[in-house]
Amino acid sequence: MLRLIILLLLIVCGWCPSAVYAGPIDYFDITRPKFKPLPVVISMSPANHLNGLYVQSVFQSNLEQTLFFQIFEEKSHAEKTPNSIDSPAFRMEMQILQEKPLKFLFTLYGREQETPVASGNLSEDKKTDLRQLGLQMANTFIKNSLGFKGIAESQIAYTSQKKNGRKNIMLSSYDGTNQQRFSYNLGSNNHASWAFDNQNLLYTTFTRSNVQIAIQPSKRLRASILSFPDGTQPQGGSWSPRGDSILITLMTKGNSDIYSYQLKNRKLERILAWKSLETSPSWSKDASSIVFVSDSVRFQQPQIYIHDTTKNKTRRITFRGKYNSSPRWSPDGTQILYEGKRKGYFQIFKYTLSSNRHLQLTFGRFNSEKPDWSPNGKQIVFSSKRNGLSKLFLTSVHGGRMIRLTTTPKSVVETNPVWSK
Amino acid sequence: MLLQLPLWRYPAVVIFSVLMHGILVLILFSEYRRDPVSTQIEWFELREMQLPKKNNTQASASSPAMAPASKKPERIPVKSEITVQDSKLDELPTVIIPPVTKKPFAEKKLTKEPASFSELKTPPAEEEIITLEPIQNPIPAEVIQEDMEETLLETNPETSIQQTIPVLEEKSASVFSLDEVLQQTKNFPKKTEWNETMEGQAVSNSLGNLLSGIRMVRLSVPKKEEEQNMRLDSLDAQTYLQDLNHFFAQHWEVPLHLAESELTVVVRIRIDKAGRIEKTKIETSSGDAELDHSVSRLLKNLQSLPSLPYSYLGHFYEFGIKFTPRDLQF
Repeated sequence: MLRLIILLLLIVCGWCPSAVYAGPIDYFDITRPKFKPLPVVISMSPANHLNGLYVQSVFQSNLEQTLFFQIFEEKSHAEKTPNSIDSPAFRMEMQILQEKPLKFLFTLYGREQETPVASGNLSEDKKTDLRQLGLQMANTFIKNSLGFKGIAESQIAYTSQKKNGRKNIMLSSYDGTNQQRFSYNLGSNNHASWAFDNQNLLYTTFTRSNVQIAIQPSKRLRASILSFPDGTQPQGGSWSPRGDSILITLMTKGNSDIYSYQLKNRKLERILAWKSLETSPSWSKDASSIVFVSDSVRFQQPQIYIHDTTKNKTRRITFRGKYNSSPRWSPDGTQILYEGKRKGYFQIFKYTLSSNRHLQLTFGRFNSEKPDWSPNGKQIVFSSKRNGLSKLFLTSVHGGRMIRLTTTPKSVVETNPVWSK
Repeated sequence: MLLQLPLWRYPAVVIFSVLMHGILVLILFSEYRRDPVSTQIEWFELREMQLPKKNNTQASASSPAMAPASKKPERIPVKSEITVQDSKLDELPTVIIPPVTKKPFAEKKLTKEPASFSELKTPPAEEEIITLEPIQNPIPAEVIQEDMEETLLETNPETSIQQTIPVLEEKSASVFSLDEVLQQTKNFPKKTEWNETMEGQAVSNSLGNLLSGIRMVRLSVPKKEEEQNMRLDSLDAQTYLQDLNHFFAQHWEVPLHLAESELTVVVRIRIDKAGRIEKTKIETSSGDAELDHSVSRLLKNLQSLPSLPYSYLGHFYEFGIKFTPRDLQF
């Protein structure tokens, strides 16, 4: 053994002179590539099975909705790129094992790999219909290909208003195909907020006489109304991570402050009581900080602040532009989305806490407002007036291509989207 | 055989080996410092220019600038058929020297005809281009200030219009001898690649008519230095980085899910001066298969990169690129 080590040492010493010759070289940093979706090829056997085709279409549309993938069917890919050296990044093979109930064997291959990255069975049952099967397949694909959680089964709540109608809270599936009305009271409903466990939603109901906060289970159509002291007027709220309290903005004598409302004992606790207007509070996921909006520096020029509840310190994070509002914590608590007015139009920005970097995600001569994060933090939903009336759009968290979420008629105004957690 | 040595001798062998290598490294390093990489061409100081007696009397008659410097101050001709850009210190011209082995001196006719302009403008592909740099001492003859003009070659040979540009003021007028220089080159045959057969050999007909009487001496570049990589100076590096950024922004495609990531692929590339890729190697992979694939596909498709700055003197350039898809561009 010792002799072997000595021999190795001699060999290493022999290499020393060549190491001396290898002088230093210049290194250049290239950091600005072009971004594109990953090409994915899917195939199914038998290819013309009716239920199988439906599941495949749900799977395919949900994958494309992520903006990370470009889907090809096996034949079309071969025709489009006959001489291309770029093979598909992933190949998904679906085989129908059983007709009733429908049972799939899926196999996922990586680039030029013979051994599969993942494989398994997915089958229809009482809880899982064909559509659900397609969504599960999309989530499985994303988890095994890109390594993060799929969001095909998530929901988006938003405020919808038909022409001359009242505002109502609506729920939309991730791919925009399923739309259902959520609020059924006689008031005008707005500012929805999901609980961290997705079991409840709270929203603000405006009637002719007063303003109320309503809490409604996400799978029931009946809401409970919260009561507040006389002389106070609630204006929107958001859930605490534990779900036992909510943060609300209460307007008293022309001044709005931020309060915490305990749901069990209906106790109000003042968090911030500045002389200026404070609105839009929301908790970080670890419940250590609150992000909110205040016009404390200049009247009617709101800016975004973070209040550390453990140290009782507040710091301002936006300094550019005269109007920055609607802040939202990212799921991991490292970034904040907000809207800011630039050159007369609202645009979406992303702020990274660690680097203090603000990144503009939307551009154009139209308003893009009220952003919110997807549950996996990879996409954002926001309302935009790019075609006149406000509609909901999705884009990646890095910006770039945008796609419309819903296919509602032109006369329907869609605002204030919030994504389930 | 080594394995049969007694055990106590092995440390001695190791120490001896390390010492020997250390000495070798020191020797190599001292050589390296003595001949810095950045100097590839050795420059000789020209002191006096004398008209050679045996060659080209007509050509020398048409080139009074070659007259001995001991006489009274001469004027540099401004209307000779072929003009020489030899009086401007700040911008010395590019001199084109054909390879000496192609046309032996014995077969070559010395012509009195001036070379065509197109020949001067476009050198043959096999010719070597050596760029002269300013030397500290100025050129030979004393020149009269008011007549100092530099003549540029006109690109259109039919019209033969010459353009004159006033020359900057000369600060001193010391003399130099070309023969002295040639003599010096003979003293260092290894460094100058001079040999006896080359003595008296004229340069190409184009250049020869311009510089009548000057015998060609090829300045050699040591082979070791030719093979060594040079580095760009900071200004050139900055300019070249901009070129590369602009270039790769159009060619490097990365999957969207990798945007804003800090993953890095490090690549080592060797290009020639025109930017043609000679060799590529991935030094460090990012650990992400898709990012690695994007870079390897890019390198596979590319044949050339932006050409190197003109001021770069090396024959090739070896450098590294760190590919990080950090910034957004849609």
